[in-house]
Amino acid sequence: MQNKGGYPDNFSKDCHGLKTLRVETVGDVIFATFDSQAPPLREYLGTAIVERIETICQRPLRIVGYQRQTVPCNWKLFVENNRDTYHGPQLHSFVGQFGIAMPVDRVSVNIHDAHALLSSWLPPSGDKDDKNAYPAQKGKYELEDPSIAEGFKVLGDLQLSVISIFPGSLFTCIRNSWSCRRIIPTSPGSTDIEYTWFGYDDESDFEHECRKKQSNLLGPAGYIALEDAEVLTMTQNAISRGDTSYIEFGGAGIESASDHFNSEATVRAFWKGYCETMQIPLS
Amino acid sequence: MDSPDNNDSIERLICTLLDDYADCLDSDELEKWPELFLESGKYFIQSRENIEAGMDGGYWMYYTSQGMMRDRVTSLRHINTYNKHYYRHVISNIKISEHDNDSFNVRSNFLVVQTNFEGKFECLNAGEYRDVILIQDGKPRFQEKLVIADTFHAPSAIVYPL
Repeated sequence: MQNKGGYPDNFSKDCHGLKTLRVETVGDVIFATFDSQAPPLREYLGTAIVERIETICQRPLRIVGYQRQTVPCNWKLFVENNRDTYHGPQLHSFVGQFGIAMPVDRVSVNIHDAHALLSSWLPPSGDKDDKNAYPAQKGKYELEDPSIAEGFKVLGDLQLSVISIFPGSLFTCIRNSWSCRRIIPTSPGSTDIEYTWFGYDDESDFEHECRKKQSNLLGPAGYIALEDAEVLTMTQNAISRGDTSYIEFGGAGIESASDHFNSEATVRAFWKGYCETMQIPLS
Repeated sequence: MDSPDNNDSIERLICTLLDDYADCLDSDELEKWPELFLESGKYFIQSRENIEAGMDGGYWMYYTSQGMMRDRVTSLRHINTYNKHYYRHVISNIKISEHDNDSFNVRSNFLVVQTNFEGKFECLNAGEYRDVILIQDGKPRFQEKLVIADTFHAPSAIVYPL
């Protein structure tokens, strides 16, 4: 082009390339950050979460599908929703009303910095219902097709893992319905949720079918997740008018618990992490 | 599809089934929705994204029997908490092909618009229906309905079937 126009003489591809991400893995899960100063991943997540991800990744994983959804609420409301440990039975009555809730032997809450790990375990096989701390209840309605409640044991008696990684990543392994979600703020009043659904690469057809049926609980149309989206929409409408409400549920501190879910310690851990990151002084 | 007359009546029966499908969802007569299927009927909503990637998971709805569909109706009527909304379906480009023992493959385009509890309008989804429709004793019913959601990023919760 007769050496006219175009890039300047000092143009360097190195200065205008794609941004390099720092990548670390736990099990089959790849984490990436734009922040080269971020602490080592395992140190950031803490032992309990790292070990749980490794437990889930005990066999090679296979991605089985994606889902994407907008929820018209601030992203922090969505985070509060997925780590608040007690709204489940109050809002989500599908499992209870149909009498398909699993009996629970014990629960635990692990908090590491601003991250939270919620767990529950089935009673050891052979235990009678009445010996359990939380026996399964009879429902008000009966499923015409109970195959949605069919499942298989895969991680021993562990039946629930909710791993909420600060600020916006979430793993939910509820019985055989396994997904991870990325919580992406798009504006102060809107959040995008991206699901990645997974199972094991070597699963039987029956196991894969169970996972597909149980995935009816989450996602844009999920029996449970649709209620979260609807309630968060209403909550956003209320708080954007300036209404406030604060209840110290389950104390005021941030502590792990090995025997109950009746606390918002996990939510307080998030807000402490948020205030520290945003350099908002804590009173 | 032997004679032109027979073709007309098959086409009319299939179009009536699609109209009835849209009508029960648009006029909040959810109870009629499972009855448009065979007892062993299947109803799936899968995103275009997953279809193109060859994924067999991440369905928005995965119902393998009429019973599972009735359970959805019971749950929406008596159990789930959600905001009131209104659907309107527009179905077009109905193509009937390949038939075998009174069953027909039927493809059509759909658009579902939703008016929410505040009276605001949104395009909830656009996509394609891939149906297998069985006609027995002059009565058409879905053997399988696969809803392919081109709009694979849902703009809000999907409460009713699409």
